[in-house]
Amino acid sequence: MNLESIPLQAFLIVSSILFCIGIWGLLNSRNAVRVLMCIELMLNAVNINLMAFSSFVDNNLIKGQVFTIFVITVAAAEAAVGLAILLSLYRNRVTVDMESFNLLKW
Amino acid sequence: MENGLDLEYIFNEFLKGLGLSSEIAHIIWLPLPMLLVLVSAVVGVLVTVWLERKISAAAQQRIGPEYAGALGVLQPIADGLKLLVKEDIIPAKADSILFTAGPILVLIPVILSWLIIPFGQNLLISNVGIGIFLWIALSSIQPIGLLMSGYASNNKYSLLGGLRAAAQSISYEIPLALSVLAIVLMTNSLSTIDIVNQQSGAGILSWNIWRQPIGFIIFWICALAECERLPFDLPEAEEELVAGYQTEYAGMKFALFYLGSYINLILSALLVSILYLGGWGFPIPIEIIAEFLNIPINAPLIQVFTASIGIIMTVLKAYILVFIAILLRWTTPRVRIDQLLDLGWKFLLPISLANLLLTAGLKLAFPKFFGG
Amino acid sequence: MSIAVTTQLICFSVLSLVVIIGALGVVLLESIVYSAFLLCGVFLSIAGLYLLLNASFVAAAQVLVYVGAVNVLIIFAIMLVNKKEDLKPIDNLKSRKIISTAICLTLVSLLIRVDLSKVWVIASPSSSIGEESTFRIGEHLFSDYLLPFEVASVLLLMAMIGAIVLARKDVMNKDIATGLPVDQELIEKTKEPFLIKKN
Repeated sequence: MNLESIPLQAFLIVSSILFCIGIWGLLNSRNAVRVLMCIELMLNAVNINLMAFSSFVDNNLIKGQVFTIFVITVAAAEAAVGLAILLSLYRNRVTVDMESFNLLKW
Repeated sequence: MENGLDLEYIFNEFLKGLGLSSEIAHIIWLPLPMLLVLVSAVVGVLVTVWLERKISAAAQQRIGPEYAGALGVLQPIADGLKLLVKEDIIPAKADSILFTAGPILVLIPVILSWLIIPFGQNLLISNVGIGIFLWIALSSIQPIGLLMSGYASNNKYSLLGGLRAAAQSISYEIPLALSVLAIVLMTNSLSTIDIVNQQSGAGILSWNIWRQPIGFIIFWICALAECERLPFDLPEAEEELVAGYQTEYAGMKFALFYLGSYINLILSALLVSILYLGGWGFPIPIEIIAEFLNIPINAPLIQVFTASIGIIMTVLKAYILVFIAILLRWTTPRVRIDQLLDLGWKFLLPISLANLLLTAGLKLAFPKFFGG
Repeated sequence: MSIAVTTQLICFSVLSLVVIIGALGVVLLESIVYSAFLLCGVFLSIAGLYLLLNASFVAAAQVLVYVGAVNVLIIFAIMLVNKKEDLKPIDNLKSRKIISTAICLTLVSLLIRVDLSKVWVIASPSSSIGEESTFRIGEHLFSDYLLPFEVASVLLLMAMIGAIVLARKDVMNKDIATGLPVDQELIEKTKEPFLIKKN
């Protein structure tokens, strides 16, 4: 299958929009789980970018796909640790509201 | 190895002979194998349900279904019709969108996995490059559907059942994938066709079960756990959880769960027969028989014959495994949830890792027998 | 326009619509459970986009890791901490929302402008590796990306141990202030959480 019909820019635009949705959610969510979900969205936006470039610009060496595999690995580790932190936060503060996690605030 | 029947090619040539362009012929061809596989999956479920009823009856010294057709063979159809016309109830406090989407999300990945099941050299829907990995990926979607229906039912038994099902299915996915990985290591390919061809050298002697006995046992245990069959049917343990995530379901939505679990059982049995029992291969290589009888292997009649033998062998091997699964269900007690998770994480996972390491070592030491 | 091209266009538009609308749903929906299930849809359609880009291995890895592991973990976490709670009202919430929306809109327009204005050097489709990409990824992982590959395995091990230590109840069972062993049940339920300031 060759992609003469869809330009590279279309993939890039989808990924830009997804990334900004992720940032918006990250800034505005009060629920800590939703914050984690937004981080996953942003990582996925980056992955779409890497995949699109690897298949349009570097379609023989496909280094972008290798990078995507690494990003997926790191994202899995990040999700596991993030959710564990969330659980122990919930145990200590009995809430998942981001606004109440403010001990490090100056 | 490009011998054997190629039905797609014959069909497309036939349509081109009728004066259609090759693109349209391809489009007409596309839905046919899918439909065929869907029908055969459903028929397979009906046969399995009948077998389950008959074997459980025999195990309990009963007769089992008798009046619907000869030996009760029409009983599963009657069951299906009953579920089809039953009232479809959505509990008042349930979340109706998720409640409806749950069973669908459980069923679709299972059916999609039939894409990669080969019944012969060219008798599969799509020889995708990632082959067996597609099945591993698709089967990981299922827990989402289970969690969804467990949550949406708004019932504590359903929620606990859904959580248990998801926990069970993620913990057994890992040893399952690792034992498949050992096979892939020997085959040098993810494609199911290549996996079967790699075992086709010397009939029954070259089947993977002799080279991967540990992997075979791990795979079978994990497959039973993934299908939620006894002794691992904790998500629907009657004494503790009523019926787990299925508690609130009735009618067609329940039938989807039922269908999904049986299609999954047949799929797992088929995959065991493909990965470990030589797939469509006859215990004695068909080439040797043909040579013995002095028949050229490429004669059209022989090709049809080989193809049908292949389908019969695949289905036969799968149904022997289904029989074992049913027998296990009616003769073994259920394990506890902590025993189940301990078995998965503390026993099967290290053993399957060791098996993978052993396979890699053997592959280096004896490249001839373990795929160079 | 041939049938294959039309199919590609339809697939791409449907998948990217699902990605964007689903992501908006993840961010905007009131119910966190719905967000989590929509996130699953987003991940699946991103896997579909990868399939369009000829990368079936990465698509399967995406489904396996994101849908099968990350999303299930997220749903598990939601079920463990999903308690109806009324969020404390905070002041100047509205201005915060407006500012962040403005920032995000600026960023998205900037990114799209960059996407459209730069001329990318597109490689010819003839050099495409296609179905062989799985082998190529394996080659990369065991030659020029060997060190990152090994480090990733160490990272995963560390993450696993870290997650177990953080999430287990019986690891941190000493009161930080007094040094006495405490019953975790007390910390969770009856005792005033240690870190919350009394006001």
